[in-house]
Amino acid sequence: MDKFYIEASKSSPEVLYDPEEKTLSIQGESYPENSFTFYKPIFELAKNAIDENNGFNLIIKVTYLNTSSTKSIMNLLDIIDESYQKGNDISVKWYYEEDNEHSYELALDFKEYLELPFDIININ
Amino acid sequence: MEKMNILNLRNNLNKYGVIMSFTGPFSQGIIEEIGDALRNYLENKNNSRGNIFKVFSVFIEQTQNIKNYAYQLPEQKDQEKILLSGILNIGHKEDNYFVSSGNLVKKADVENLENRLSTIQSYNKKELASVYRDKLRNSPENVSGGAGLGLLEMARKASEKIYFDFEKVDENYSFFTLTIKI
Repeated sequence: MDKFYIEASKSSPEVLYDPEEKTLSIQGESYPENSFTFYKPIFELAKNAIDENNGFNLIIKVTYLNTSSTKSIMNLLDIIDESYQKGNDISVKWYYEEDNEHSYELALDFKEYLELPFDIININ
Repeated sequence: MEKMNILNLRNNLNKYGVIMSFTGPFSQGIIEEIGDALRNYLENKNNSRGNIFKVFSVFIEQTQNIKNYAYQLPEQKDQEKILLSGILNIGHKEDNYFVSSGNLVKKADVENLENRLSTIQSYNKKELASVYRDKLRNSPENVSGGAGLGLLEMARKASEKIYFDFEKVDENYSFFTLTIKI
């Protein structure tokens, strides 16, 4: 698989997939005009990456997500959680800054439903 | 043309505690620019990061709600009318920030929206969190927005019950107001 990169904009995060590390990272803020359109290629990428390799790491460092982006991230996590339950080696690391309750609470909202390893890490 | 009384307008904004007010169609670009100005303002007033994101989040959900509501309507003339009717105010009163928006709503949509808001209004914080999580998990994603999570998110960020009102404008439209105190 090739590298995958989307540059950050004011309302959308930087997205990078590194095939050697089998790692997808999403960093920044997310409140694009249409989150469904923005995240669709990322769902495809995650599905393909998991099919090709047995292993997938997701790193999320977002300071702010609006509700439609939240729904999109939930879908992404569902896709990879399903693969985890089929025996794929998968991990999620969610980074937040200590003074950002918004990001921390979101991580808790997600973690509640997932079986895969989900680490919530304080950056400070 | 009738002479505008700017002093009156200014006094009214002051009376309500309005810091920023914007009316007219909200494009994504305008939402981003006002959002930046809002965050700069809140930072300069030494608000905590948590508080800044709370106000910002309610601002984003309110403006995107108006846009999403308009664009899912089938008729272009309804879309334009609703987008033009949008107004967004951010203010500070009695130690709290508030975000208050207004827009036209089609008569046929009033009852459903009113019921949803009344239900959300009746939840306590714990119920809000659990309904939010349930919806996040189980509702299908739709192309226009976050599957009805926006109103719940705003209520979760609110420091007291959400306030809403519908005022009949004509046979086809009512004016919907939503105020969230943070």
